Amino acid sequence: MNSFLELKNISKNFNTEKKIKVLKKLSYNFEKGKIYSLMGPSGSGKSTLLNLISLIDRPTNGSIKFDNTQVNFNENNKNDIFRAKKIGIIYQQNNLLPDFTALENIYLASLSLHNDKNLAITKAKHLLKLVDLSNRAEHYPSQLSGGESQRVSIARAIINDPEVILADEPTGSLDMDTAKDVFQILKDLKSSSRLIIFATHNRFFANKADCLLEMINGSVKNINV
Amino acid sequence: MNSSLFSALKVERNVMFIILSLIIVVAAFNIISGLTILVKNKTKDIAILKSIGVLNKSIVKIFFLIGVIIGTSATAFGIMLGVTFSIYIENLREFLSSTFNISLFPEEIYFLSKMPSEINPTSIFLISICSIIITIIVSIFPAFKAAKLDPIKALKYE
Repeated sequence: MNSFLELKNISKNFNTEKKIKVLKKLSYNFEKGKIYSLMGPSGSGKSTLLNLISLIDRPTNGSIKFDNTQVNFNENNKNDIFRAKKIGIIYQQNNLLPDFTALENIYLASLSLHNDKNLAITKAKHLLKLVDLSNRAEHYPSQLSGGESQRVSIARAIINDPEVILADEPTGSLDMDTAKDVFQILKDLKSSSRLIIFATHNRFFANKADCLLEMINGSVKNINV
Repeated sequence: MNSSLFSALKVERNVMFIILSLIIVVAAFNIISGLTILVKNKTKDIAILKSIGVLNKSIVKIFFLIGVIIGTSATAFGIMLGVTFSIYIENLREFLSSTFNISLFPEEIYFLSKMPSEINPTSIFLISICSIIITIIVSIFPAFKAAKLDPIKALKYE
């Protein structure tokens, strides 16, 4: 199968008081239809890699290709539109907008892309049903539990039917039972037209992925396929 | 004969213009500082919006509109207050004089039986337009500052 996402010689340095080399000439090809888990100790570069793939951050060196098209990191607008259309992001700390209800948090992502409020609300309601939170539509993030917030985050991430889902320790702040529920929702999103990459510290969830990748010394090593 | 009086009135008019201009400058800086604080408080929210693909121009639009709404509503409120004040200026003078037992605008000094006040629609219109234009101009800076925020830093450290 052709790779959908190609990372070639990706390096990322942070110039703080001293130069920190987080990623060192990392190369890897990701395929659609698979779930990849990214393991590694804190500071190994998992989040940095996900930020680069989501085009929120730019690499110091190297190139990223989606579907054989190289990303130009100087085209901010184009990359923002690409991210809105093709990439869904889920963070550890759910990162919902506190002044908006669960429903509004979800439909905002669609509204910004299509500028059609009715369509956005219809899709958001359907997704709330999918994550079993229809009764929480009008609740604010402060009124939701950690697991519920994370389910809202997942619904928001998939409202534009993205081809790539990136999850940065999505179960990191949840208890085991809730984490299993959230992970199952994430797993159910697997399809032949979608690539899912999640970073985790949890070996139990990492082993459930199709490919387990380990971040070692700023590079990525395939543990199993 | 009255040249010194007219000269004094002219000076007073100029001084009033300078004072009122300074008030507008202070109000404009209030809008800038208010919006800058709003941008600072909403740093994480802006980062979240960016992470879900909201365009920079949409973020600029949000904060720009907030500034324009504040400026326009404040202008409307100011005009209402000013016109009401002008209409009832004599009643207000009498009320303050009787309440605090002081002589405001004494007839024997100013040679006028009541406090003069004139509502000039052209002036109101021009002042409103100037206020709204100033608001629009000063709202641009915080709006662009919001759009330039680095989402990585905001999501990491907020």
